[in-house]
Amino acid sequence: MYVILSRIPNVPGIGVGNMDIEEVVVVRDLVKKFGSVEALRGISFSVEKGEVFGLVGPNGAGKTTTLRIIATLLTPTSGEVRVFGFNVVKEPSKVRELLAYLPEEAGCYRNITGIEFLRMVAKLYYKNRRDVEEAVELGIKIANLGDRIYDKIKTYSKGMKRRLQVARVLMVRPKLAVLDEPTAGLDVSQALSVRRLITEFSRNYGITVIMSSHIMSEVEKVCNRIAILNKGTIVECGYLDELKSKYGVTDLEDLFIRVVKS
Amino acid sequence: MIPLPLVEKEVKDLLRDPRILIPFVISALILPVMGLLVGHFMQERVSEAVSAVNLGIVDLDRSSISRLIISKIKSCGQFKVVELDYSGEFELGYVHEVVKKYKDLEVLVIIPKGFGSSIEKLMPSNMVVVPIVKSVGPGTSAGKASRVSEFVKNCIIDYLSTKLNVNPDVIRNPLVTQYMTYVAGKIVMGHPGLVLASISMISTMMPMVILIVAITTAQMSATSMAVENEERTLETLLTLPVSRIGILMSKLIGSFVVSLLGSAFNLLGLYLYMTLIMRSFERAVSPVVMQKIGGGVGIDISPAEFIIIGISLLLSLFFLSALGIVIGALSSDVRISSTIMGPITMAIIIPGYIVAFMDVSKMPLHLQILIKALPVAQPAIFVKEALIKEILLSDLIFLAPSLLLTFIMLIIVSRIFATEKIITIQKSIEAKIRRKR
Repeated sequence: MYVILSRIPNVPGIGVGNMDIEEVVVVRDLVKKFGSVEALRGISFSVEKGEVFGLVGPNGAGKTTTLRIIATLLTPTSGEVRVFGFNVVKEPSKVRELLAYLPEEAGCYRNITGIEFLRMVAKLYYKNRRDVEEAVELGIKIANLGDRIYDKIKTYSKGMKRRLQVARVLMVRPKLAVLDEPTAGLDVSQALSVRRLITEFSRNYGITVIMSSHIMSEVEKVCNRIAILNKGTIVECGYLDELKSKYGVTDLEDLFIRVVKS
Repeated sequence: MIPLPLVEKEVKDLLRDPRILIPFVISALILPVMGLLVGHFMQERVSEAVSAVNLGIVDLDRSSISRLIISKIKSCGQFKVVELDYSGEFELGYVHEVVKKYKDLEVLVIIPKGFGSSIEKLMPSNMVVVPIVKSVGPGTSAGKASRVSEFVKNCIIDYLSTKLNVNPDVIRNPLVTQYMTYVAGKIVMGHPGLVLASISMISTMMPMVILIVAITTAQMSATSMAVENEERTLETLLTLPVSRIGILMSKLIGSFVVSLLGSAFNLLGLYLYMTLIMRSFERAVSPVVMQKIGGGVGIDISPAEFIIIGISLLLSLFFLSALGIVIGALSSDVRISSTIMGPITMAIIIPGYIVAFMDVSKMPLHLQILIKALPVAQPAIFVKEALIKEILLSDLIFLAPSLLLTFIMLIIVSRIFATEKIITIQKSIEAKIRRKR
C-alpha cells in the first residue's frame, strides 16, 4: 500500500523554531515508580528528527511506560522528557499537538463508523474543512477497508481495528508518531503493509517515529536506531549495524539475547 | 473551549449503544403497556362498580314500608334482587348458607323486625348490610353495599317527606355549601378534597420526575466513562490535541444531552401511562363525575421561580453527571460501574422520596437544612414549594451549598482527568481488591 500526499497541512499552534530542533525526543534520567515497583530506573536516550527509533525488550522491561510518559499519559517520578523542546509535564498540551500515539491495546468506539472516527480525529487536529477532508481521505487510503469504512467499528475484526488506528495516527501527519507494538493483532501481510507505511511516511514526510516491538525482525526492517530495555534500564542504545558488529552477531535476535544475558 | 467533535462522538456513541438505548425504549414502552393493563383492569372494575348489584334481601319485618322499599329496589334497575325466605330469629350462620347457595350474590341485606314501625314513629330504623367480598380494588362489594344503603335511605326520606309534606331535597341537603379553596395564591373553586388531591398528585409527581432525570443523568455519565475504560479508548482520547477540561466538558455535555433524551423517553412513558389510565377511567364513569374530578387546579409557577428551579436543577444535574464520571473513571468496565451505581442510586432516591411524600417544612431544622442543601432534593423541594405556596427567599441561600458541592465534584473529576490517575486508578483499585482477597 503506497499513499501519495499532495499537500501537507500545518499543525496549528507550533512555532517554526521548535520544528528545527534536531533532537525530537530527549529523555534524561527518567525514573518511574508505581508504588514500590520501579518500572524505569533512570533511563536516558534521544530520538533524532526523521528517524525511526525502536524500543525493544522483554515484557515488563518498561517500553510501554516510556512511551506513555512521552505521550503525556503518565508523569515521571523524576528525570525529564522533552518533545521538540517542550517539557511533557509542564507543557503537555503543546506536546499533544505534535504527536500521535498508538497504544498497544488501542480500542475503538464501537458504535460509530470507521469514517466517523477518522473525521472526529481530523477535526480535532485541523480547523480548516479542506484539511479535515484531506486527512480523512488519506486515512481511508491507509486503513484500506473498502466500503467497510462506513460500517460501525464493532463489526470490524481485530486486524481491521488496528489498521483504522494506524490510519488515525498517520493521516494527521504528526511531527512525532509514538507507536506501541504497531503491528499487534495483524496478520503477516497486514503487518508488512503497516511496516511499509511507517517507513514510507517517515521517509517522505519527515515524520519522526518512536516505536516499541517485541518482533525483532520488524524492528530490524523498520528502525534506524534502537534502545534495548531490560528491567527498567537501557542496556544498549545505538545504530543497528554498529551494535551488531560490536557484539559480533548477524541479526537482532542474537544481539538481543547477547545483550540481555550480559 | 468545548470540543464539539467529541461531544458529537459522545452523543452518537451513547445513543447507538444498545446497553443505553434499550433501557430507554423499554422504559418508554413498559409504562404504556402497564397503563393499558392497569387501565383495562380499572375500567372493568369501575364498570362493574356502576353495574347492577346482585342483591339478596331477607325481609324479617314484612311491614308495608319494607315491602314498598323492596318493590322500589326491584323496579329501579340498579339491582338484581333475590328475595330470600327466612323465618324465626336471625342467626349469623345463615349468611354462610346464603353465600354458599347463591354464588353470584354481592350484597346481602337483612331488614330486621321493627324496621317499618320505627319509621312510622319517626325514629331511626335498623338494617343489616353484608357486602360479600370476593376481591380487593375499585368496584368491590363494599362500594356496592353503600349504594344499597344510600338507596334505602332515599326511599325512607321520600316516604317521610310525603307523609310530613316536606320537600325531600331539603331533608337530603339541608345546607348547600359552596367551597372555595385558597391555595398557591389563587382561589380555586371546588371541593377542597378534590383540589388538595389534585395538588398533592402534582406535587408528588414533579419531584418523582426530577428524580427520574437525576438518576438517568448519573447512570449515563458513569456508563459513558466506564465504556471508555472497558473498550480501552481512553488512552487514545487523552493523547489527542484537546485539553483535559475539554474532554471532561464534552463528556459532561454529551452524557447530559443523552440523559435528557432518556428522561424524555421516561417521561413520555409516564405521560402515556397516566393518559391511558385516565382514558380508561373516563370511559367507565359518567362525564359529570369526570368534570368534578378533573376540575384542574391550574397552578402557575412564576418566571422568577422557574429560573430558580432551573438553576437548582442544572446544578443538580452537573453534580450528578460529575459524580457519574468519577464512578465511571474508577470502574474498569460497565458492570463494575453499574454495581457501584446501585447504592448511589438509593442515596439519590431516599431524599427524593422524602421530598415527594413528606412535608419538609415540618421536619426538625437540622434535617431541613441537610435536605435543602442536597443537590438532588433541592430542585424537588423548590418545585413543591412553587406549586403549593411560593419559593421562600430564605431558601435561596441553599443554592450556595448546592453550588459548592457541584463545584467540589467538578474539581475532583477535573483533578482525576488532569493527572495520570485517570489511567492508573482502576488498576490500583483492582490491585487493592486482589490484595484484600
